Amino acid sequence: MTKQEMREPTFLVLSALAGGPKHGYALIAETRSMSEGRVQLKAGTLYAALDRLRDEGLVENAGEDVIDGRLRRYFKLTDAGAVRLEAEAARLQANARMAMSNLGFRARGATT
Amino acid sequence: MMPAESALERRYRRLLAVYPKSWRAQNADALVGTLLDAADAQGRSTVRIGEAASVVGHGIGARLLAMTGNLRAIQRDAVASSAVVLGTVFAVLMLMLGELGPWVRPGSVVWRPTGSGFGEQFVDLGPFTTLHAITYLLWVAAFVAVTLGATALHRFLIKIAVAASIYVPFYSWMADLSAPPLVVSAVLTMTGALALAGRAGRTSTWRLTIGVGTPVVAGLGLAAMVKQLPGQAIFFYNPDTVVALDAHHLSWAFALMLAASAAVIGAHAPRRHWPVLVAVLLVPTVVHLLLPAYFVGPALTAGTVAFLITAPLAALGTRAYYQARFPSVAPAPLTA
Repeated sequence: MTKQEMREPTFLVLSALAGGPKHGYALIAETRSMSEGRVQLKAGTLYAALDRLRDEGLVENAGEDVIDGRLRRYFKLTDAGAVRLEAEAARLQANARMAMSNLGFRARGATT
Repeated sequence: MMPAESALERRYRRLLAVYPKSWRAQNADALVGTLLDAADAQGRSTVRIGEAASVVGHGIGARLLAMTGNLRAIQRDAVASSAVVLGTVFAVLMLMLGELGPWVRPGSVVWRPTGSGFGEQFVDLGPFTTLHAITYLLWVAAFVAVTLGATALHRFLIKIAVAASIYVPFYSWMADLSAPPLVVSAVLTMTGALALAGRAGRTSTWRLTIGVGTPVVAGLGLAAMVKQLPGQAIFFYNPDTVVALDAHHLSWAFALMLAASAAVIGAHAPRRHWPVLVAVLLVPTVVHLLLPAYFVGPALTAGTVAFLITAPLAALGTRAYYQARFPSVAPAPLTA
């Protein structure tokens, strides 16, 4: 079965939700923080991503609040989303470990 | 609520009109809440251009999705990947035959077109014949980007290519420059829209399909038209051409294939047999457009008769398949 590779914004959104249910702007803020400012999701892009993640069963709605006349809808990670996120994190970790190992070989080769 | 915030909220809600009604009923309040939270955090009371473009762009996408009966993500990705192959092949054929073809004339760098509306002139666009070369090159660049996995760059280039395929014919008309038939731009615009319908090349399998399939199909297409390259390509854009295969024939063939495929994929399942019937009936016409010199007379007649028999069988098979999948939905009748 072909593994579907995950784009970074999607990975960050799922990672942010792994920490607990969040509303739209909280997701935008947390993905920006996690990426150290590299990924700056706009609201339209975020909701398109959430629509797609809901369609794939990785995310679901987790209730709503009305604060100061403003609706805040919360989203949470599903079990399938957690499995998918874990698989992607493991893949990235394996790639990173291999890169660090090769960099170590390279450094040792330079000093000999 | 502060008056400035209320005015901002009204502006956001006006932007959301681009989303379909059903989507707005479920999500508008939540999205407006997020937009207002973002504006508060940035201390502003106006809509940013990038923010508006994001909302409008995704709203159009949601509207197109609603029109297709809400295809699943994996189906949209397949449509987008197929559109990249088709669009790139088409752009390469236009580039090689329409733009660079006139140069493939031994001993000459002067373009001597012929036919109504054209006259002798020097080529002013380097190796290219018309400004539409920009659109074709953007498609080639988008193909390279998706093959390398640069999804964001690929989508950006496709959007620019779609904009170019709309603007360049208009500019060419205003500036009285030579241009290919309008149907060429129509095909590229339609294909570009389909390429943005999903994530083309989202998996390594699709990237491989695009990366290998596109050059193979484009190569086969060019090989089939190799007789037209030396000199005859000057007729390629000419609407009055008499060569076997030109921009008109190719474009109409691609347009029919795109329209038929889109109708089959986008139709609601219990009624899919209707577009399947029409798509199969169109096959001899498409083949005749693609191979006009080789598919005539008895071959065309035989092909047409074969498809007149095949088309109802394909429709009946499709109807039976979806009737089995959707037993609770009464299928559309085959007779009026």
